[in-house]
Amino acid sequence: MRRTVIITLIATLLGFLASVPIYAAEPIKFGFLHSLSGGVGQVYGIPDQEAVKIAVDEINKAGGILGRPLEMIARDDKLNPENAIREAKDLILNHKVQWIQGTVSSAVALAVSAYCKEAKVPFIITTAQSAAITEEKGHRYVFRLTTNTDTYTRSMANAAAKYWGGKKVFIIGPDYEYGHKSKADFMASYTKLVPEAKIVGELWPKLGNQDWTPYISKIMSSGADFVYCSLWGGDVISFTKAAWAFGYFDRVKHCGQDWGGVEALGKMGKDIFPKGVLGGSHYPYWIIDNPISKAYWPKFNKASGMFAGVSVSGYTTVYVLKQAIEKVKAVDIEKVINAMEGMELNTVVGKLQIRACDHQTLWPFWVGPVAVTPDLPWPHITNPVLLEQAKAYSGCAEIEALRKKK
Amino acid sequence: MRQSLAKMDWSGKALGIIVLLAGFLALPIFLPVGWLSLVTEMLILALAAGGLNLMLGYAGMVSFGPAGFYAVGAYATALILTNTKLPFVLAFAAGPVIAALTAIPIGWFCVRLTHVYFALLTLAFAQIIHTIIFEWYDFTKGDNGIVDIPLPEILRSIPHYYYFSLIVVVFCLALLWMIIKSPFGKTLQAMRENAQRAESIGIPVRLYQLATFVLSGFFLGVAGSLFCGFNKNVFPNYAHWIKSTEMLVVCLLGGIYNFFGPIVGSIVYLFLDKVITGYTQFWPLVLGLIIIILLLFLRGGIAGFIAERLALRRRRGEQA
Repeated sequence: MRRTVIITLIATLLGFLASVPIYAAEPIKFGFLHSLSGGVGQVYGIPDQEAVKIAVDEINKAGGILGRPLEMIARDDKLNPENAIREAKDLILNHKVQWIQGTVSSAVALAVSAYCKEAKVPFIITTAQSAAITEEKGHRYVFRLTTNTDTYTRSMANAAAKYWGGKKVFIIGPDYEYGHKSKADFMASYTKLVPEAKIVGELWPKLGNQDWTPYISKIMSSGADFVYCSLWGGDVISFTKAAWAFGYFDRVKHCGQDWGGVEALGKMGKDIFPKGVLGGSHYPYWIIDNPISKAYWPKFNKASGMFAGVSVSGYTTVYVLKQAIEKVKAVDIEKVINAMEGMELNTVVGKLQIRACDHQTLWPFWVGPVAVTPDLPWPHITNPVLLEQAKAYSGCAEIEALRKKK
Repeated sequence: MRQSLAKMDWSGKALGIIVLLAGFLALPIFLPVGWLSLVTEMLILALAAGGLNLMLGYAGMVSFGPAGFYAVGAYATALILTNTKLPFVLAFAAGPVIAALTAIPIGWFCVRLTHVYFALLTLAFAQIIHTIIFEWYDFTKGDNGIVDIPLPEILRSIPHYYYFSLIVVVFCLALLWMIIKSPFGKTLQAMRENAQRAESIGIPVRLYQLATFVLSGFFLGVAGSLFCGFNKNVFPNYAHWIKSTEMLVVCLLGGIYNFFGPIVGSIVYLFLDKVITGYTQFWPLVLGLIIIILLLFLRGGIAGFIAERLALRRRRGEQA
């Protein structure tokens, strides 16, 4: 009796093992490493994952890549570099992924980038913005398919000068590197446009600050011409709620790169929102006239129940790799990287190129005043201005010099 | 009769440890590198938790801030390796020494308090360390951490680093074992049971507690230095209270009144983390449930539970 049971068990197991390869050609695996839990996960990681799922579905339905299906292995970096490296190792060493994409925290992106450089596996950043990762710390295995902090601050400075052009600037930002770097970069760009501009006050709340009242009253009594604000994510929402009660947006000119994205504004209603604030957007689909975009955003909205935003970078990245693998007709990392360098892309925002010198995609960044119009259910940027790519990104020679200095 | 039983027990334990060590030595032969990397992490976390448990389980000093010393060890090694040309061995040794030196003034303040006040003060000091690392950009690179730490060529491969960690961790655990079995260790346990009584028979309790604090800081520093070389980068959240909680959970999971508790805890914790995060984003929920079950049903942790069972069986054997 016992023997029969064992034999049956072994037979079933063997049957399972034998049946696996019959199903399909071996899939091409890639790692999706992003913040999938907590507030940041809700705002950035989850939408990105949904966008990537759409791309994988589309590609697999159309026959895969070189006849092989595509498989995403998703992991939560928990916004923690140490954890991210553990997951990246697992993805590369145990799952043999061909590339890793994602990440929102710049510290996480830096850590994963350093590991991928050693493991010789491409890492494509879809959300994290710190320019240093592709500039002085750039290397063969790191790519970025979104804007970076240079674009952010230069585009904001350009728009602030065009719309307002005041001399007295007030600064508020989260008290860590991103905030301080944003301030320095913004002022460097702005003083080129308005040479007499000066900082009249600075405030550095903690990331995830709860009580905005003291900050708001300080800004309102400062007499500044406008405020440059690098707060992002949940801080944008909580600041707006607090400031609205003071009539802040009627009296203060306020600008910031993260104040125009669907990530923050999509969560606000028509009654309380940062009225008139100059905000930025990676993908203002309501003004983009492009067949790829027109097919993408309704599909994303239907599949995820969310509005399309910066997460489109995740979607685009999957297609970049497909294009590169098909171009070299091989799933070979080194050849694929060579193909990606300087590659022309057809994206939702039009034709783009992955620059060969620093692997940065020159993604555009629109800046305009936030308003409510009848055609969209939530506040969004209107009449945006777009800084030309050559001015929004550092040039190859500049980056070369930065890397040498290091 | 009883003596010979005890002897047999000893030789059995020695045999067990030898088999275990041989198993660890042979691991790289059949384990894929991905898993080997996880085992290395388990070893390092086991050492950190073991260092904490000297204080927690043996001296009864509940610290909420072990990650502070872990981070000091990691950052000391990282900063020396990136800023100076000193050899790796020196940079590595500097980590635990600087962690222990940091533990002296902090411990001096902490041991003046008891129970929850002690716990809170350790937490406060660890958060101060975290803030210093987080804010001091010019020196520690702030929240960007220090990446790309240069290691000697021989330690760059995962199996090599595994062997290096194995040697360091086994050596340190043996040291911890000797400390615990020494008169000093016995005194700590007496203090844990009743500090006032210990004091009344002439034990300088605060001095002993300070010594424990510094020793614990030293071993946490070793773990931090090891992890710095393992990951080749360091980040401020090594000092964060979440990291401290992780170490506390590992100790509780394995059992704080058993020497092997932190080791078992570390293996189970990281294994669960790896397996569960592969399936769901709700790892903290599962972790929460595990902690609840532990506190309600397995007060002695996993190692404590096994030891209890073994003792029960032995007693039954003796009776029969």
